[in-house]
Amino acid sequence: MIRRLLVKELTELRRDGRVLGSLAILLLLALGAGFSAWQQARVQHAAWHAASDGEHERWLGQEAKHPHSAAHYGVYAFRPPGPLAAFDPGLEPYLPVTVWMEAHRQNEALYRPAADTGAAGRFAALTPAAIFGALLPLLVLLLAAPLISGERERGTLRQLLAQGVPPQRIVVGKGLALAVLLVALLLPPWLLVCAVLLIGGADGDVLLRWTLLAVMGVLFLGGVALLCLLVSACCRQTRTALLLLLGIWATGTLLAPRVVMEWAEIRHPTPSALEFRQAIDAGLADGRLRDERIEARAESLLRQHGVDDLADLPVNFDAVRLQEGEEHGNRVFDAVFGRLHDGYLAQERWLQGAGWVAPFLAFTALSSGLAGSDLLHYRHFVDSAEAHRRMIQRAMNDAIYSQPETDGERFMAAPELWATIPPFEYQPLAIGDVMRFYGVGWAALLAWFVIPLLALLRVSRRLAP
Amino acid sequence: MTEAALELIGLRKRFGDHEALTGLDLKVPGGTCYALLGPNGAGKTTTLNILLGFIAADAGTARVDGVDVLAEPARARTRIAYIPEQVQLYPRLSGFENLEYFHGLGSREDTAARRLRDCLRQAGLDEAAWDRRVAGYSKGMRQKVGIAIALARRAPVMLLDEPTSGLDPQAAWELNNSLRSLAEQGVTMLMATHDLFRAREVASRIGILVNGRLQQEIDPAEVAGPELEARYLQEVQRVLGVQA
Repeated sequence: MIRRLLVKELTELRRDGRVLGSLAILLLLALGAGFSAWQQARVQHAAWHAASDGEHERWLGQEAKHPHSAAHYGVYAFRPPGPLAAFDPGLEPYLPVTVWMEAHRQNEALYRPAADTGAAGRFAALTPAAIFGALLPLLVLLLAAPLISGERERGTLRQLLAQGVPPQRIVVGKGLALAVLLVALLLPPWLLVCAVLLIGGADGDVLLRWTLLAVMGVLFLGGVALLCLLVSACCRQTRTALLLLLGIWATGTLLAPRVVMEWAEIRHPTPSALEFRQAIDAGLADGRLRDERIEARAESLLRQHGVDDLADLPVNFDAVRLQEGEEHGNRVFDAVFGRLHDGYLAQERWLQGAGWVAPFLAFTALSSGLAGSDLLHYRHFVDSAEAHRRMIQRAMNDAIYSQPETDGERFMAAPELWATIPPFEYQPLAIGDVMRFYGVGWAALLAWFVIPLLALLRVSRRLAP
Repeated sequence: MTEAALELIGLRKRFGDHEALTGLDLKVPGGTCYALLGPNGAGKTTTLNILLGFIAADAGTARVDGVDVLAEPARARTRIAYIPEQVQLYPRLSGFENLEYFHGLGSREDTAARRLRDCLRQAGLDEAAWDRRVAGYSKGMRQKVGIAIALARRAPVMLLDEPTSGLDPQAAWELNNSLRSLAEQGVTMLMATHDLFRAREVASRIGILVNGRLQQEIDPAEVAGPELEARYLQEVQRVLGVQA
């Protein structure tokens, strides 16, 4: 019976020119967005590779110099595009891509790709994720709204029920037809991306992310389809169902994101650029702890080596001063950058939490999270770059420490020292950490799937003609 | 007279302040056609809806082929074929595909396409139209597909709601022939209608339903057309107290 329902629904959909037209338009959009995303990802990856490789070459190419001069010479860390940013660029265009890593200071990241956008920047970006999250539900809505209400309006539901067809089966048949259509529409592109990833040598992490995106997409779109069927089952007229669903779609997709993000900024404010810099300057200016620690280290070293003057030490005390200065800065940076990033992540959590109200918000949060184009990954990059900067400073200061100045001559390190510093290789956040962070978003999407499903089962038992 | 295939005893149904059925008693013997005449709002469609299990009666008993509709609506439906006032079909499917679909969903066994085509033939649908999409069908053609669906069901009881409404005389005549043929095959029919002429032609018993209660039963063989109309109008006027 279910098979018969399924075949009939699919036959009708196939013969409905409007459905085929909508699918063709959506397919065209998806192809355009997919190609554009792939092209952008290719360019970004190439640029990132070229910049990263060149940067390490530049570091290695330094002539012999004092290690602290090398520390000031510095290097840039470049943020690679998220593993699946081609699917969902998320915040990618608005997040800085590079950090200048130098002595004494954790610099703010620089250069947002969006700043390079030309005239096209005025148009909303058409990304695969936007098509999936915003436009595909619209298509599902248009397809699903008349599925049951249309039968009721036409009078065919009355005839079906009079034939003794169990109402639950009618609803299941409709749901399955919709599911088959969506799977037929989405499975080929999903497999195609899988093939591209495998051929491109993507690692297990990326494939796992892509699989989780598919699971998330099934939950999201399944929830949307179930909600549409539920509304369709409850409405006497297709027009009513359509209006209601369009209202839900517009509220959840167009209005809710803006309201929620405005609210998030009110609830979890982040400091302005001026406040941020003032906080760093104030923190750095208060060097009492640093001075106390330098004094203590000096006393300890003098005692240890049995000398009265720092100049008589067999080690270079300037390195101690430099490293203590670094440690002092690190404490300040950890606190001020930490506050800033905690604020950003609180906003991300707020966004996924708002998924309880509108599933599109949970989808948006999870999609960019799995694509690696969210604030969580950005923070991870910034933290990784900072850890690398600190490693360089320590290595340079250690080199200075072992070379006390003699006869006023400054120690000049050979280029071999630069080679001891590995290039900055950013390892994306582990998928387990991503899943933990987005637990609420997953729960919200699951609820948006299960609740309409249960409600639909309940309504379908009493489906009236 | 054979045992009643359709039996309603003291059936009551209220919608808010309006009492649609006020204790309807009705028996339709097996293999006969019973026409239920009545003005709008008399309770004809409510009666059919209760028999189909779409709404529950507030009181009384309804049995279809011995099955209590109120206790076992799903089982009762398996005994019923239903032809609505306007047969609604899927416009993008052909007449045959519609028949195959409706019958396939309502039946437990696979029915051979040949038998389904026989049903379409028996219902009087032009063979050239069988595989054409229903979107281009006239109302009469749709009604014939509805009859074919009912025929294919091979149910012992058939409920018809204004089956000739909107049909041209030729189509209505063909429908009458089909119904007579069904009665000869032993199918029990309850037909709610306003069409006194067709009711007299097809039915073996006519009931006049006014204000949710059966007011009078008539044997059509005993009355001429004008007399049936006069008795009907008289009854309606008597109960409602207005010019019907």
